[in-house]
Amino acid sequence: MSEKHWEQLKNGAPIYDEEGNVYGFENKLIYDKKSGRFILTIDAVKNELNVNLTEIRESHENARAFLDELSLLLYSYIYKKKNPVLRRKKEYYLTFDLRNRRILYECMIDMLRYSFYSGGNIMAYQPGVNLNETGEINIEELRNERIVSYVTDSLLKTNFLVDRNFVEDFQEIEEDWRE
Amino acid sequence: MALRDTRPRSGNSFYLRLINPYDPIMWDIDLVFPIYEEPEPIEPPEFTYEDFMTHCKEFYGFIEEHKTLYGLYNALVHVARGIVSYKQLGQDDYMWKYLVSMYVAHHMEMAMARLKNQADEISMTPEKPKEKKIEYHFDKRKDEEYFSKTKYGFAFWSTYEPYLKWRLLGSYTSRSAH
Repeated sequence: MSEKHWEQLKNGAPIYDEEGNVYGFENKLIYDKKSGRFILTIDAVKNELNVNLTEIRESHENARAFLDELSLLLYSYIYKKKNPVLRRKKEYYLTFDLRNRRILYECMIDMLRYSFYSGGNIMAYQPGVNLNETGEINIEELRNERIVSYVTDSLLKTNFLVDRNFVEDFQEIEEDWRE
Repeated sequence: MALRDTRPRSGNSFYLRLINPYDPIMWDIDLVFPIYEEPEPIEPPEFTYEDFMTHCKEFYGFIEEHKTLYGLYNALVHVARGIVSYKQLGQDDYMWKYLVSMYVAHHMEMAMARLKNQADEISMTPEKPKEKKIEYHFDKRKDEEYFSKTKYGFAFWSTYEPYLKWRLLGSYTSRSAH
């Protein structure tokens, strides 16, 4: 495989541009090498939703941690729908396809909007036990399907990101692209 | 065809011929086969992507080049060309292309159901999604049941079967007959 292996994808693009920012999404996304995920920046939230996360979360670190959690939720939702053996290939697809990068960005913005409206992201970590009633609430379906908002779900489904297999034909890369 | 050469080569065989000249074992036989002109093979027309799209728009976006199912589609077209007899259909281009499309679409849908794999059988993960089960029935192949698993297969078989009934006679029914 050539040095520019991402060119095998129709909308392939490198992770970083010449200045070391995320290609095509300067000041909007950052790439976490350790987890292999794109994470929203605080500036992007301010520009898109006019929300100052640093103020709401009381510190810069808390805001960053919140956005990292948001990214984790979205990625895990996408990976869950995929066959485990295709996970690495999926990560490659999400990382190097510029179109997917835009979808991820839109989804994370939309999940934030969702969480501001109705507490959305919290659903993923609910145990399903109501201590006031001491009864069990069956939120298994909610956990599976409603970690992300309805709009995010539509975005993912209409862009083939939660399919069991890939529609576009491309090869998995042996080398470690996170470096 | 190799015939036994009975011409006398030794003294004994020459003597045998001499005393018994009319025995059939002494005859030399030349076999002459009639040479028939081979009929020209009937070649079906080219089957293109547009032909398939005419009948099966649903697969748009899955079978083009650089898509995952591109190879599968081409392989199935190759198989279908051998399965659907152009001669049996009275060399009817439109009918042949329709039946090839239906045959390919039937197997495409089956393959896509396997790829989709809702019940997650091909996985080492122990946890399975609840209430998502697919039941498979394996049985001796009966064409009618086999093709009625998908809409395309049903359309294929219900159209192709009347033609196949006449295959031993070497003739076909015209479309207006039924």
